[in-house]
Amino acid sequence: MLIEQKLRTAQGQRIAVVMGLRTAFNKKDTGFKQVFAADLGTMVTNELLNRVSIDPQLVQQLIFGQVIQYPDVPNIAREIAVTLGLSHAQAYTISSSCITGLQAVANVATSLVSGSALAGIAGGADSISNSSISLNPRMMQLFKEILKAPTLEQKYLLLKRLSWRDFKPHGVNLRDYITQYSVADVSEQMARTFQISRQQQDEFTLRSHNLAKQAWQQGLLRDEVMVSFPQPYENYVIADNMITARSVENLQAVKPFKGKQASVTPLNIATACDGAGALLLMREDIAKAEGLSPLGYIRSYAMTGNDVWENMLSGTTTASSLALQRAEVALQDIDLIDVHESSAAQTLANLRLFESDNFAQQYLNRTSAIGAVDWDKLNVLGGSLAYGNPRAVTSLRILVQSLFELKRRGGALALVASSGLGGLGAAMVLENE
Amino acid sequence: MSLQQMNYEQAGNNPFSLVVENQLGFIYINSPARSYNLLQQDFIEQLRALLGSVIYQRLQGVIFISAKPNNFIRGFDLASLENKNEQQLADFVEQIQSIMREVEYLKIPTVAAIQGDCYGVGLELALACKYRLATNDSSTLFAMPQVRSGLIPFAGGTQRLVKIIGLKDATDLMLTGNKINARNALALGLIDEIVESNNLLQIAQDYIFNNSLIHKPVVSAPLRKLKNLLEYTQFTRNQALEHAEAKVSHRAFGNYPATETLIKVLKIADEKQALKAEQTGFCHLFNTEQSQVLRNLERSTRVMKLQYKNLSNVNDVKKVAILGSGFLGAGLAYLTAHHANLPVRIKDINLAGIQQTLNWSYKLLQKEVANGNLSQGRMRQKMQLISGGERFIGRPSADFVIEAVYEDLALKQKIMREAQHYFGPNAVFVSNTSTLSIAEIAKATDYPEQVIGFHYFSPVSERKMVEIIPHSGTSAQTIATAIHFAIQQGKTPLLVADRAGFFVNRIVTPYLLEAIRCVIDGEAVEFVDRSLQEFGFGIGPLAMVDEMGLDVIVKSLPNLQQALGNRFELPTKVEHLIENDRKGMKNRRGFYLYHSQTGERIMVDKSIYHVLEVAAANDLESEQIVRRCILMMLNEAAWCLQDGVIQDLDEGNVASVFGAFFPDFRGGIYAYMQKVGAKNIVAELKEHVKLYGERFTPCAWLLEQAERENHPLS
Repeated sequence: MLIEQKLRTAQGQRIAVVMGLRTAFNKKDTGFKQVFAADLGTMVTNELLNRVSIDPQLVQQLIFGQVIQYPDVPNIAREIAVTLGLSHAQAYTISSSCITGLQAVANVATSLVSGSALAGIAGGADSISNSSISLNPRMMQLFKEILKAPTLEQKYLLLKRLSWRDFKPHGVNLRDYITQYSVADVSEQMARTFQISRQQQDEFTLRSHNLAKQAWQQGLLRDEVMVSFPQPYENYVIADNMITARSVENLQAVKPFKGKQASVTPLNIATACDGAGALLLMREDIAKAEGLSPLGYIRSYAMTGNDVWENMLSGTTTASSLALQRAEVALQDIDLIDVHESSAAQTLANLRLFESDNFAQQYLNRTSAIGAVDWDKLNVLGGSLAYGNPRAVTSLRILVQSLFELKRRGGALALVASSGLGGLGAAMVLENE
Repeated sequence: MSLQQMNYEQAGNNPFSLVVENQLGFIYINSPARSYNLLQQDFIEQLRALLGSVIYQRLQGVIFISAKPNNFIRGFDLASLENKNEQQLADFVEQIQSIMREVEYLKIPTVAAIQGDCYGVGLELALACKYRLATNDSSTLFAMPQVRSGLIPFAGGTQRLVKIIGLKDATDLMLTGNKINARNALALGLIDEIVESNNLLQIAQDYIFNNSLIHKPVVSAPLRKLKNLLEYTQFTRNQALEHAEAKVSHRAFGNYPATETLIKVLKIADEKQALKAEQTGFCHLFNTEQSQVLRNLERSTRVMKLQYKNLSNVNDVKKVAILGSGFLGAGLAYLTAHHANLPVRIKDINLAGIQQTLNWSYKLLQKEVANGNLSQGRMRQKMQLISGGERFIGRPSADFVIEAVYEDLALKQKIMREAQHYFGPNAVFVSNTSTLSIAEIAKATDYPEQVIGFHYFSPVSERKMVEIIPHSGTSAQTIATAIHFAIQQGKTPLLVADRAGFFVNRIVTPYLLEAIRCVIDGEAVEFVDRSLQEFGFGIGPLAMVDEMGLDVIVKSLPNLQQALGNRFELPTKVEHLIENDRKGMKNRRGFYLYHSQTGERIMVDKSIYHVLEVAAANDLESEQIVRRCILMMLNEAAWCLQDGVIQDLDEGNVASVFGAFFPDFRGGIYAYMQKVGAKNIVAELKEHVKLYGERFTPCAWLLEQAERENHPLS
């Protein structure tokens, strides 16, 4: 496995995250019910540029993630760029489940290192409220055949093949295509494999909610969550609205997805929602010349793939291991660890994998385990279980949240990581000044 | 581009130049030494020479196109006709009619390729061409505005317009002088096709060389022809015109003689006779007082705009910050994003206020989309220029900061101080006020030389004027930037002195108060309003009070009274109206009733008399009401001169028309004052002192003027 990674320019300049920002995350059909992903992305990017206020000509690349596709706007990045008067910027859209955000950042960073752009914006936006609903493609094909059929009899025979089920509209499918596993399915599987009880999962969920609530109450998110005024400007959105859990009893009141014996419930997995986030990246020297003081720098990143049939959501561990190796640091050197909580079971399982010598030797090309995660450093302001999970934005939230917190604490290094449906992993080691 | 530049060199004093390429003649229009095309009298000879050359060279077609970027022809320079006697005028009209005929009767195809303003004679020239193409640019507008100068079209336009778009629409265009965009022009059949601006010249050539490419309207043309045919019989023509006449006279109260003449000309079905009537009508109107007054006012407006433009020779503003939201904030955000095309940031602690502001701006822009002036995509781009937040965050980037919080000195001082602290010493800081002293506001700040006052009029998106108020310490650079910004927003700026009420409100308030006093004295609301509308005001004073908001006026009075005297005293009974929560249009309760959904004025609210505790008296004649109200305004306008509120009588005239709705055909408040004479005004004022009280006491300046009129030689 290739470890060496060059994230500095030939002159030794680092890649700076100048500024990062997100909208509040809102439950389906609430604050953002009237806007599409492109609108959310435009809103957050506009605010980002307003706050940083650099010459827009510097922004030469804009990469946005969108996981829940909307066929009318296949490339939201370009729509955002043009709407904001950045027509000169190259812009494309990516989709890579929960790691989309980090992938966008990695792509921009690579462009900057290679000298292909002076500054770039990486972002993500998802709208579950306005996802597209389509008609069954089988039915559409059948209709075409009926129209083409030469005789009435043939038409009749074809028509008979239609069933009521075919008329059911086709909504968003958040399952992995090959395995047809949802996050809940994988989580249940991982909970069994690692023997993580319902109680443990619910307690971890509550921890996430409590920490997130605290963060809001202490005003720690004020600078990274913008106030949004979504079109047609009939409401405004200040805060995340899914941080609700008060007690473990609260969480235990709901039924698991797969019967009584199962442990994964709608409350201990992260819920899909609406939101957007964006970051401005720039080479260190340009940022300094522009008089900007960056939030932090990218020291290393890793984007990995793993098996899908078992432990599909173990990418957090795989990618973290590689990113740490590339950054040439040990887990103990890290001041803050923020991982994506796609579910409580998935997160707890990955924490076990961090400690497993066996897994390290078998899959990570290490002689021993990465190490035990210090809970005082882990997701200190809460995680996706509380904030919600807009797929394309989720890992950006983590990155921004971690950088702001690292700065606040005056720490040196942070690790952010996420696994994604489809057997994907992403991790980044970030550093302060 | 190089081609056009070459023409410019060749042109010298000639607005027209002919370039021949592939047997095709391009006639470029380029008025020398002007940023826009305005034809002078001598264009006729020059154009005739070019047409001769076109015929001689046996060209296959002619395209008229402007060499200036966003302007086809803005019209004819009427100043070049001043000092002509009746005969010379008549000769001129005959000449201009004949040159248009020569264009029309060219045996080869002619195309007017129109980008930008196409007004008056410019439109008449376009009408004489066989085809008219227009770009979809928002600057492409059409109008027959002669009526606004008290005139009628005089180059055969009365005939050609009717022929091309039909009697009804033509009458409408000529009577109102309204501007229409390309989309509406196409719907009327005024133009043949709308094209993208970069394709204009190419498609114009296609029209000449390749007939099959000509865009033919599918259904409407034959129908339109049939309709137009019907209008040519004398009977139908008269019917339609009488209907139009009735509508106009109802609105104008016989104050605009041009409309009568126009309808007379249009009634003539025979073309030769009609052209003759157009000629005599124009010559007659040109020498009427109304037309002269209107032309003077136009000239003043133009001169004023030019002067202010020269005053504002500074760099463009880059980014605007608006502190505080509300109606005013929304209007400013809309103007800044839409007209000035600048990013604007709204800062307000009250998030609902920002959201409301964005919503209003959005609705204003949506209206532009609905009118076809803006595409949905461009609307989205413009809307993103407007953003908002509850605190200053990130790097300060605005170089033009406008405060729009409510009228409270301490609050404004605090906001300005905070703003300067954040935005630094290089930005311009505008305080928006109608009553407070700018010097007082500036005094509390760190960089008073960067502080200047603006006074917008409500509704901001529609009113043309803005008063700009420097205090004694405002720097020249700040004043220039402020003027420049106002022009960028599409406003007509007026510099006024930092005295209570500034200019417009100061002359309007006593006038409005007097109208209210008339009602208190037992006159009917609609009678008062109608009396002043007959005098020529577009809107009656009491309807105007409803528009401005009685609460706003009342709130400003104590300050004005203290600074300027009892002319600004609140009539005691008005307090009943305030207690009765009659804020006017804003809350749909005022002197009038308003439609609960559309907000349209419906009828007088009869309960107003009950609230005011007055019994109908109806003692006054219409003229008496007008005199009472106008005298208050005239006297105050004289006070303004005495106090040095404005610099220039012409500017005052323009401001009184655009700001206070003073009738344009009276040439503005000072032109009217001059016409009536100070002596007469003083006599009337003294009379009114006896009848109604001290508030009518003439000011010293007026007395002095009257004295001068008595002894013209001393």
